[in-house]
Amino acid sequence: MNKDNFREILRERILILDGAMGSLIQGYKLTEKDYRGERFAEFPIAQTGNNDLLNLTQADIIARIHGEYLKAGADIFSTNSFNANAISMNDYGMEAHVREINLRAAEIARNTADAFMAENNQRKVFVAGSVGPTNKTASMSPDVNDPAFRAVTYGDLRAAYREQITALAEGGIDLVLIETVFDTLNAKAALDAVREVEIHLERELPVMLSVTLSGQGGRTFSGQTLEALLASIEHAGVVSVGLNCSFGAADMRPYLAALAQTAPYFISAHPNAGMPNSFGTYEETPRRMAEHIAGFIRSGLVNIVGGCCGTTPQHIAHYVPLVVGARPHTPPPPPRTLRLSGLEVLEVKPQNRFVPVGERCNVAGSRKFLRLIREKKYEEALSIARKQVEDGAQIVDVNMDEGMLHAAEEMKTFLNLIAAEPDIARVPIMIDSSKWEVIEAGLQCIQGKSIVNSISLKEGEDVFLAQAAHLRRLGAAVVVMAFDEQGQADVFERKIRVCHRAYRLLTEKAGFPPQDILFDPNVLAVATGIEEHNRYGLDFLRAVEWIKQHLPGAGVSGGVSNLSFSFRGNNRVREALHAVFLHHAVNKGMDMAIVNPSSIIPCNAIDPALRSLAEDVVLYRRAEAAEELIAYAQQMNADPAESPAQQEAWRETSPGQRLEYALKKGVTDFLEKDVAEALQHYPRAVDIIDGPLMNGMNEVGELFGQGKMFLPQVVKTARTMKKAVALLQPAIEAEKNTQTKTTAGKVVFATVKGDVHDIGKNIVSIVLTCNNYEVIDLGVMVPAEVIVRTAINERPDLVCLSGLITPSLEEMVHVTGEMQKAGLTIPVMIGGATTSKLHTAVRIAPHYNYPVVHVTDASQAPLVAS
Amino acid sequence: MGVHLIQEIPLARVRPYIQWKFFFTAWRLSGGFATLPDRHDCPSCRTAWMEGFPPEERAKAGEAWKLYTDATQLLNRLETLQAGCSKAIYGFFPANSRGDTIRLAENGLSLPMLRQQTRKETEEYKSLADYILPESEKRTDYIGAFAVTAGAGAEPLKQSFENEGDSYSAVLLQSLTDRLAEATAEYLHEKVRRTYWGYAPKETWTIPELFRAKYRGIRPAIGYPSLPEQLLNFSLNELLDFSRIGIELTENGAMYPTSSISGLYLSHPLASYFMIGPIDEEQLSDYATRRNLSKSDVRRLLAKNLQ
Repeated sequence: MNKDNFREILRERILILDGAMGSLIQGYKLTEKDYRGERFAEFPIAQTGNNDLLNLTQADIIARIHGEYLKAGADIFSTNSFNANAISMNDYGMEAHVREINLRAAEIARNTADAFMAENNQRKVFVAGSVGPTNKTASMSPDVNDPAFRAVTYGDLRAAYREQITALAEGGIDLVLIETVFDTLNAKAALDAVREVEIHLERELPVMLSVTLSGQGGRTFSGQTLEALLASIEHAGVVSVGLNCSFGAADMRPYLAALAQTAPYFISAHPNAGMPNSFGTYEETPRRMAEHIAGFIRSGLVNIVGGCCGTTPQHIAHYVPLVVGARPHTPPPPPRTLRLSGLEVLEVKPQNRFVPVGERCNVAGSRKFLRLIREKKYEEALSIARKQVEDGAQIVDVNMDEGMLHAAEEMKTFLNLIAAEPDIARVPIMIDSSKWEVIEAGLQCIQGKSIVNSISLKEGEDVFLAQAAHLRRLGAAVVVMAFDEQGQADVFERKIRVCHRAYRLLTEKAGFPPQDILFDPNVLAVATGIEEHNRYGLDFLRAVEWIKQHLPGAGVSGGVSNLSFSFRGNNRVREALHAVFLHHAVNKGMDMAIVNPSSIIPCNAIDPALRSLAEDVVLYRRAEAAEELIAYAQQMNADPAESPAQQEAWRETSPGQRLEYALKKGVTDFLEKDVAEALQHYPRAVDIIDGPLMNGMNEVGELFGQGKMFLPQVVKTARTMKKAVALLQPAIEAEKNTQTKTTAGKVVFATVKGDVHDIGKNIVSIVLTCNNYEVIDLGVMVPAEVIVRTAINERPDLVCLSGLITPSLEEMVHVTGEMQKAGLTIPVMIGGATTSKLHTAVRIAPHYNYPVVHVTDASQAPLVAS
Repeated sequence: MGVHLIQEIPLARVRPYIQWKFFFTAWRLSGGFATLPDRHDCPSCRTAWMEGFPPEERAKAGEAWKLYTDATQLLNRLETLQAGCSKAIYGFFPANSRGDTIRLAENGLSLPMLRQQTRKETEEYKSLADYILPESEKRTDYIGAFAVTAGAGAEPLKQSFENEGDSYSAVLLQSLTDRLAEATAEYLHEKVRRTYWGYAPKETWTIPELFRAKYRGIRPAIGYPSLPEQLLNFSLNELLDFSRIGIELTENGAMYPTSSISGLYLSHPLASYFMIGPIDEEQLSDYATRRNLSKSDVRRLLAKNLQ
């Protein structure tokens, strides 16, 4: 059967898939001897549980089970081959028999199907080759201490799948069911293998792809959202996608509905019979399950329905009446925009203005990154990637092409490490290399849909098309450089001619959808001193406009930093050129730009005179502009002005000053270094606390009181203080004779008994810490006795009570009463949403002979406390 | 009918319902900064936003920007770690009112309500019981109840922040889970009105309209001005069994984890939010009788209404 036939059938009616094989096999209560049969009687490894082996040793049972499902009404049934791949079979030592097992599994199914159809010539049934996910994951490391390690690679998986699928196809399957996908990279290897087998056997193999989700949040076990997964498999042309296992039908529904809404494929569902109970059995009855399935069908969500763990022919039989005359789901049209993915999807839409691609993980463009990779300081290298994402990069470019590095290895290592960092892995990757083996190595490490930078016509059409076909096969989008056999396209006419030619080749001969193509018309350096180069900015912009108008669906990308190459060392001019260039390029329709996300500034933040000059250069408005800009840059270096230099200037001061600054700004990056240095400069550790640290804190406290600094800054400062003190702790202990630092006072905090709310209390205690109070926080639900006892033992200057709910008011009255009885004279501060000045004055204060004050606001606290 | 449980509402579903105004006020930055989340996520748009404030406010706006960026990243992290899921439990029950008490006959539960007493021009003294059909009408009405909690899965992350001495991230996380609880209540209420109860199936309010409570019906929460008596939480617990979503009650009826909300659903078209305000001795006495509590207990519980 070919794909179009299958699609036609799915348009006409809803098909029924079979149920579980495993649960029925269990019913036969097979022994170890039964599994081994005669043939493997002497085999050294136990085989109980190796259901796929039963194709060889208990073929009758398998055939009988298939028959029961067909009788029950299944239109499609799957071969007993879920684990029959070399990787999973390794557990049973059966790798050598993989081919035979699959061949037999398919033959048994084929024969059963043919026999059934001969007897029931109204019914047409199909054999699906079941291809499971294996028991290993290509995207994650099994060793928590070595995140770059992989127990199985894409190559291993593809080879194992090729063996399995070839045998299944030769044995007579009609289609392939890649099911229980929990790692998209494994699935990509399987899809790749299907394609290999199709070419080898010269026939089409329609694919059903079914995913299992991990319990929480609707993601796969390897962390991808369904949207991201759909982007990852877009290239493979599967006939249906769906969900199986993981949940019962009821819980599966919302995810199925989401899939049905956007996935441009037919939809399948084969849920479990409910969730397993404490004995591990699946309990949902056929009738109950059918009710849920009926719900799917009524809502028009599905094209194929079946069952997974715990289901039986009875379950399937109940579906038969449900599909009669039912309307099959109609897939929505495929998206026309570029969709890339990491763990999450990135849709490149015109409304996005432009997508920033982080450029810093490039050994050719960043000396720092090169050094880190050479020195194998991967943690720090990862933080560069992370910081770019935090600063707004929506894609991360990775380039390892450098003579001294083994590029393919480093690419693999780095990408594998990224895969273990969800905050980086969430975005798509741009694999940047001019070498084929590096690109391939990279693409085989990533679950998501990536973009490859770049290919070109540099080596002629044949090579170009071969590379494109390969990329399409691996499922990547592509950046095409404006380069052909004659060299780099520099002027406008050359740029558009090369891009046009590449577009036609890719869309007409290589099967590339236009939205997966991005042209890079070459951002070349301007104001280099060579007259011809001065039009490069303008030519690029014109090329962007032309491409968006004449090459429908394709996008445009550019590496912004190249433009200002002549001005290296002069960040202000570079940033100005970049800002102006981006502004205009984006207006012309540029979709993606490779930039340093932390140094993008908006046009209106540039000095107007510089901006105007930069625009003259970029737009080639005046021939003299380039000279003027060069002169301006040189004059700037003469008197070093402000901004980026100043930011780093504070690093040049003394360690004490640096600590004070760090406290004020809430910066913790350099604390370790600065504290260590400070210890050399100050006689005792406590002097560091009393000196620069307290100075910084006090200043922050004062500015906060004046309304010039704000709560988030105060909290960050407190965090810095905590970390600094923690770093000094060993030194403080060593200096045993020191007294505790002088503080403004000691304060006890508590949320009263019966109440749990503490965020306000936490914030006030942080503010008071910044005002040099020593804080003892008793936590929440604190009984009066504990408060009183602490007050007696610690002799604080102030006791602060907090409460949210009304009953806590009474509790506060009780606490102050107890304090009175205990003969305490410590003032009390009252706070919390339920409290009020009135209540404090009228109800609480009378129980206590000493001041009881109410505070509404964290900022009042220090004032009141003093 | 009956009680329904939702074990995992993914963060992504609830996130659009966060009312950022209250996040900024919790951090003592004015609610006016709540226009920031609507802004496009790129440096030039944000700079333009900052310049929209008068010069003396710009430093504060800058801090608000940084705080919001940190908040967004923490939420993204929770989403990726699949640690920010909310849980909800809710149910619908036949109910009628008898005087100022709402009675759930099938469950044998009585929910006595208070009535406004402060003299007003409109001469309308509201009670939540007014929104439920009286028994005398001889037709069954319905009432809903709910509890939601957010961020239980974020506990390990909060612990690791505290262990590292990162009080900023810990407080940030707490302030976000508080917002997520409210957002979950808002999200759930919409689903209740449109689908689970379904009394407003064609409703299509935008999120800003939801924040202005333009929908039909209300969800008064325990401890809030129209439903001030905290111990009623125990009655709701009897109906729903909060422990099924991991909520515990202190002896005074406070909920733990703190980022939790519980309340009632009333679908009456004229239902609106209001404050009970001060009540007099007579109502106190009557309430104590209906509630089967001593007057001194009620005095303690309704302290705010007796000032």
